[in-house]
Amino acid sequence: MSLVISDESPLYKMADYNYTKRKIDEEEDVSNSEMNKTSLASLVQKKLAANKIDDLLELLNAIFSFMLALTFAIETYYHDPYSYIIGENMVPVWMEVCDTILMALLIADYLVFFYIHHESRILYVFSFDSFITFVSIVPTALVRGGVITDIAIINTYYLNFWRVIRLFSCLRCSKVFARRNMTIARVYFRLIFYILLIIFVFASAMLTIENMAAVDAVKETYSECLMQEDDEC
Amino acid sequence: MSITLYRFHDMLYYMVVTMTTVGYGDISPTVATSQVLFILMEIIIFSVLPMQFSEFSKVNNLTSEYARARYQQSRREVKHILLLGDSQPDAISMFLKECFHSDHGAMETDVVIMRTDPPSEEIKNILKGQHTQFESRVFYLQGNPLNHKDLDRC
Repeated sequence: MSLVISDESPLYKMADYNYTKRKIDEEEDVSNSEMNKTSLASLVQKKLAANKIDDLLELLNAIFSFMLALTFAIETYYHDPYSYIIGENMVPVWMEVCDTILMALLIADYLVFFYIHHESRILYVFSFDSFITFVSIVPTALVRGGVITDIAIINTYYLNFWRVIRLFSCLRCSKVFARRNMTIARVYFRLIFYILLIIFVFASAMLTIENMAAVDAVKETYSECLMQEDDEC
Repeated sequence: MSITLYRFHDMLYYMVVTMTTVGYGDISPTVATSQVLFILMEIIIFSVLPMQFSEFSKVNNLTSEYARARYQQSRREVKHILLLGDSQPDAISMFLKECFHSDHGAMETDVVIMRTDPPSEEIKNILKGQHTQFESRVFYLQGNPLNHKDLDRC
């Protein structure tokens, strides 16, 4: 046995109560899953954990989630109030392609994690992660899948805003730090993440509400003009 | 009638100005719903962020600056001596004086001291107080030399 410990610092092990508790829980989980040891899902789970691919998946999820939220921000630069009235699709094709690719990747990510959670798949469906996935992906997926075809609905900010909710999913990155017992990095990450999350989500929400109010005002003026048959309008 | 829509950067700017309590007032919520949302945001900011700051400072205080520090070469390609074990401050002082004595010529070596405890006041005095010539050449790290992660720091 080597004298050099290749695992985490004993200083942290003793100081971090949550770490110790988590380790005990993990050991209990391992003993509970003895029966499922031979299932393919559990083998995949072990393989992912052994090769640290699960950490990589969490990081990729965070990157893709941020990119999906960013598509909302970029799309706002293509919107103009008069396109709403004439019913023109304001989203450029390249953005639709990006959306579709990102959604496919995020759905694949969801399916991988759904498959891995073989012991509690129903619980996973009702978990916070799943809720975020449904809320952020389903509205846009319905549009890209051709279920919603009304251009007036497609153009609304309300429909696109839900993509920003996907940012909550980046919080999964803190699991990576927790798994590697990087306590300080985790705390730094959470602090910065919460500040940026509040800024991004509320900026998007305010933008959505304010711009939709402006669009409604334009629509109202336009319909009044039509009724009065005023050429100056 | 001319209406311009807000772009994302407008709202980003507005949020940063609001969160930093600068509040220029060039952009403000005009619709009742966004005013309610603004109140909700303030509540969230005042409840979530202090919790995160408190956790951050709690964890930060758990470890001393010496436990987080890493050795960085004072000059390029300079070698360093690693001093391990719980030596007495007098012994450390003597070692450093001898190590950096002018009789040995221009000493192109750093000294890294690694101990499991944070430095005592006496050691701090040796490193920074009386012997200012050591300050840029001697580094104190708190860590366990039997641990790979700690060894990587020095």
